[in-house]
Order: sequence, then structure tokens, then C-alpha cells
Amino acid sequence: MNISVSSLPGLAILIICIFGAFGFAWLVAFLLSRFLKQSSRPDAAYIAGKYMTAFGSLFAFLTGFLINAEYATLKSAQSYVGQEVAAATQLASASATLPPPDADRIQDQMVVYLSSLPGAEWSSLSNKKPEDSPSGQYLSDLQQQVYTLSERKYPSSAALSSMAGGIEEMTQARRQRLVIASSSLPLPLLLLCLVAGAALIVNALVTVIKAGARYSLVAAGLILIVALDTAAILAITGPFQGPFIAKSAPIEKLVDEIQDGRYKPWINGR
Amino acid sequence: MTKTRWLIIGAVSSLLLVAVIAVLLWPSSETADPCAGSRCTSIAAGEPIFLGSLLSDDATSGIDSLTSSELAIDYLDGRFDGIAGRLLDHPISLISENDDCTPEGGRLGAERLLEEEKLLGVIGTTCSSSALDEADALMTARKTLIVSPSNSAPSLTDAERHQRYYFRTALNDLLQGEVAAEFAYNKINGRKAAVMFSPSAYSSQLGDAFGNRFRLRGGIVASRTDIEAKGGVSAAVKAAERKKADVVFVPVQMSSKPSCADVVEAVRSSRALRSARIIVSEACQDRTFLEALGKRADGVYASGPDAGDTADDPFYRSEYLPAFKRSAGAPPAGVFDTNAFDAVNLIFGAVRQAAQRQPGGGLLIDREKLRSALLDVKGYSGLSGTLDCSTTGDCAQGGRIAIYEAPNWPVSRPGAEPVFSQSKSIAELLTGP
Repeated sequence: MNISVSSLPGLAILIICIFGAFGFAWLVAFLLSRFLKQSSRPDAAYIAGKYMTAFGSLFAFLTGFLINAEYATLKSAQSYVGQEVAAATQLASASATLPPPDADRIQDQMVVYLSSLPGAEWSSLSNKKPEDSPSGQYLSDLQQQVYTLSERKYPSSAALSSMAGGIEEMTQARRQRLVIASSSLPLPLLLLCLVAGAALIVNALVTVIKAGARYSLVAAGLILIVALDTAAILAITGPFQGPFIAKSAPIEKLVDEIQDGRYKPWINGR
Repeated sequence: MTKTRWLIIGAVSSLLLVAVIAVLLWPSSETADPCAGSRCTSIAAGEPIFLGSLLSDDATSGIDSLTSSELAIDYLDGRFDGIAGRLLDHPISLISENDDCTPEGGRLGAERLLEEEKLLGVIGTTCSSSALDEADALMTARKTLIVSPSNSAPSLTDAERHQRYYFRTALNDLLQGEVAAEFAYNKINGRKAAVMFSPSAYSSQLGDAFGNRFRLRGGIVASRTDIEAKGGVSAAVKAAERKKADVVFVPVQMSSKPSCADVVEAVRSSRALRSARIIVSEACQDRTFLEALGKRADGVYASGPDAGDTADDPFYRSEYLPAFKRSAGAPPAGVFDTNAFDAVNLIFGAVRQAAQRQPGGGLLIDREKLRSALLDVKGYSGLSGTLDCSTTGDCAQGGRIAIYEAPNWPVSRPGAEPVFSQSKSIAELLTGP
């Protein structure tokens, strides 16, 4: 469930969580008004008030833990993207020392591979089906191009070694990115968090029930916080799905640089 | 403030918070017309990129240039394996026409090539006269790049006559004229030069470039004769005899009629010119010349691009030259094959720079950007030398011109050492004396 919901755009997740929380609250309020006798309400409110801190702390702790854990995953994914871009930059720079037809070809293949990442690769990682992405094949083609050059006599050994290092690091960073993309939100913890949130909402409603409708806005604020926290967890879950994903901007910038000829010393005297 | 007000403020703040989050997360989209106000060519996914070749199939340099153009296409996949590579995942379709080494041939060939509306660039022409005011003008009118590997007539890139879409990787003959004059005057001490030229743009302009630089040094251009005019070669030889020329400069192609070999043969047969030194130009620096004249070619000087730097290039030695031999069955017979390889790769580079990749694999190419991409080329380490394309179309801004003495010409003896070699740039000649 978390996979399908967290793949949605941020606004959709937000609306679902707000409607879900308020819908649940409305149902609870309806049931309380039907089944909780007027005479029992003061006692129920008193007992519920005592539990507010405990439920509130549990919910805050669990959501805090989950958000933090998922944020750390997102940062790691971003870091691997950064490593891949750094390695690709090294490869592009080293290829600039080759004869122009070779440099052009290596950089063309780099553009093909890197351009496929924000689209096809991110999408396949979001669906947990990395085998659907053509990027693996593109990277393999790029490796072949680099290895073919390493068998030739004319490139300098410094350029070859730098290119080999670059392509190796790109491969490793991609592999680590795939591993991190395959990790998912711990479902039991998420369920526990939802239960704590639900308990907090019920408790808040029981607390305000004897005070009347005017004070229901206090409970509404709490329900909104539960909804926003839940939305935040779902949104941040999975570094390649939903609204908070590993940013592909560094990759896109490198693609633009390569296409502009930044790594071709003969373009405009660069 | 009453409790009700606090509650209202709380509710409004919560709604505002939701609204702000919603706005921040709302997906944004940008659209821009990638080709506004310019002539674009659209190439659908899988459709070929059309290039043309307008080369002479009678001239050695034209045949070599075509082989090199095909090798450049072959090498798009990183291997000289006889299997054509792809550019931006599109195959290359090379349409070939013959420039016939005449103005009419250049015009007709260009018209036939331009029947393909998606033609982006042309390698050619072989001869300057096919390009001058013919192929270069037609291609420019249709915003189609034309990059010549072997045109060297100065007027093609003269600021007043240059056509915007015309470029060349061959050295401007201002350079060859200068170095040949320096050799003639200061190295072999010639004082009276006879220039025997054909009426083609190449031949007459190179003859003039040589004559002007020879005069500048104090020499005399004793005779300047059109070998295709009345009297032909014998009239030209007689004029040189009358003026007691001690140097004969022959900027004539092997494919001309009469050919460079015919002219040299006639000069060799003249008793009066027995001691005159003969200098031919790069269009005559051809294996067929040496084969035609045999021993009588010995001692003939040939000017042309210094082959030394290219021969030392490790890519040339280990990859290109063996591939050329495999493809043509023999090493290059002329001196412009590497210029053609560079010319094709420059066009490929321009397509890469100008192409906008479309979803699904198509390309959208702005023709004005194609031209701008060539103008951005500065310091391209080509096989023929370093290339910097200028607004007047010269991509070879300078280079080393060498004089070889037969039979020690690089076309027959790879690695041959020149008897004289000098580096010159166009800027040096235009600003100097």
C-alpha cells in the first residue's frame, strides 16, 4: 500500500491523508456521539486527557524515526547520484584528450546513458523493476567503448587510466543506487505509526467531546498534524518515487555541459 | 481576544499551511519552441541523416576524399570494420555526385544533391572551380553546409566573395604561394619565374599567389601563360624560353587537359629550360604523375601540405592508414584524404551541437545552428592539422607547407623528408608585407 500511495504526486498524497484523517475523525465522532453516553463523557474525557501525552509522544517518536530513516535513505541515494556524476565528469574530461572522433563517440554514449537516468531509470526504480530500465545496457555499451580504446596504441596511458577509473566508479555508484532503491519502508513500523495516529485522533475527540462543538477546532488542529505527518512519511518514502526523490539536476546539468561541448577542447577554445 | 477568535485564527492558519504546501508541490511545466524563427529540419526516429559528397571521381584527391568520407562514417561506431556507424542513433545516408572539376559540374551536382530536402551537409567540392559561385552559392541559398577537403583557391574564402555556408579544411593557397615563392627565391635562387597555369580558379589563383609573393621578394614573373589558351603548352614553354626563366611554377592538376605531367614533360624537353627548376603544386603531387614521367620526374619539386605531422600521428599510423589501405586497396594517392576525414567529422560535430533530441528518438536540427557550430570550432586536432573555422570559411588558419623533391614524394614514399618546410598562417600573410 505504501508503495502505491507514495508513488503519487505530493498534492495527491496530502489530500488523501487529510481526507483520510478527517474522514476517520468524523467516523469516530459519529460513533462517540451515538454510543458514548452523556453521563460517561466527563470521565471518558478525563481518562483520555491522561493518555494524550503518551499517544502524542509515541506518534511523534515513530513519525520522527521514520521520516529521519527515509530522509537518510534519500540522502544516500543523492550521494550515489553525486558520485556517479563525479565519475562521469572524470570520464568526460579524460575523453577530451582523445582524437576528436573518439571523444565525440564516448561523449555521445555518455549522453545516451545519462539522459536515460532521470526518465527511464528513475521510473523503473520507482516500480522496483530495475531490469526494465535500458540504462544498464547503455552503461555496458559505454564500458565497451572505453575498453576498446584501452586496447589501442594511441591514447595516453594517463587518459586511459582516468577513463577506466571513471567508468568503474560509474558502474559501482549505479549498483549501489540500485541496492538502495530496492529498500522499502518497514511496514510494521508504518502500521504502528498509523495506529498511534489513529489513537491520538480518537483520544483528542474524546477529550473535547464534553466541551461541545466550539472546541472541536482544537481537535481539528491535531488531526491536521497527524495527516501532515503521515503525508510526510509517505511522500519521503522511496528515494526514486513520489514527490521527494533523489534529484537528477546534477545529471541533467552534466548532460547539458557535454552537449554544449564543455568537454571538447576544440569547441570555442574551451 | 476571545477564545473563538483564537480558534478561527488557528483554523485559518491550518488552511493556509495546507494551501502553501499544495502550491509548493504542484507540478510545474515549461514549454519553449526549440526552433523559433529559423529553418529547421526534422529527422524522425530511425530516419537517416542525409549527407552528400560532391567530389571528382576522375581526380585522385576526389577518390581519396570519398574513401576517407566513408571511413569517417564507418568510424562512428569506434571501429574501422566496414560497418557504418550511427550518429545520434541515426544511420548516415551518403549521396554521391561528381563535381567533374568544372563550374558546370559543381552546379549540376549541387542541384542533384539538393533534391534531397533533408540534406544537411556536403563534403566537396574537389576542385575550387566547381565550388566558386556555383556549388557554394547553391548550398548557401538552401542553408546546407558545404565543407571542402581540397579547395584551396583564395577567392573562395575572400571576405567579399565568401558564401556563408561554405567552409574548407584545405589550406588556403595564399600559404602555398608564399612558401613556394620563398623556396624558389631564397633556397634555389630563382630570379625569373615562369608561371604556367590552366584557367581554373585553383590554378590561376595559386599562380597569382606565387607570382605576387615572388615579386615581393625581388623576383620577376617573366611569363604567365594559360596552357589552355591558343598555342597550348608549347606556347607557354616558348614564352618561358624567351624570357630565360630559371624557375617554372606549374599549379596544374593531374586531371586537367593538358595535365600537370604533360606540362612538366614539355618543359623537360626544352633545351633552353634544361637548367630551370620545376615546382608543381599539391594537385600534381600524385602517384600517377611519378608513374607517368618515370625517371624524368626526378628533381621536380612539389609543394603541398607537410605530411610529416600527419605521418607521426599515432591514430593515423595505427588505425586510419591501415583502414584506408584495406578500403582502397592502396595508400592515399594524393594529399587531401585526411582533410576529408576531418571535414566529415566537423559536420558530424556540428550536427551533434545543433541537434535537439526529440521524445521518441527524433532530431530537430536548426540549420543556422549547424553553421554556428562550425564557427565555434577552435583548436580541433584533426588528422590534417589544427582547425579553427573562421567566418570566411577557412578552417585551416595556418599550417606547414613542405617542398618535396621527386622521386622522394610522400605519396610514393611515406615518411619522405621534405627539402624545405615552413609554417605560415593566413593572418601573417594578410597583415604582413
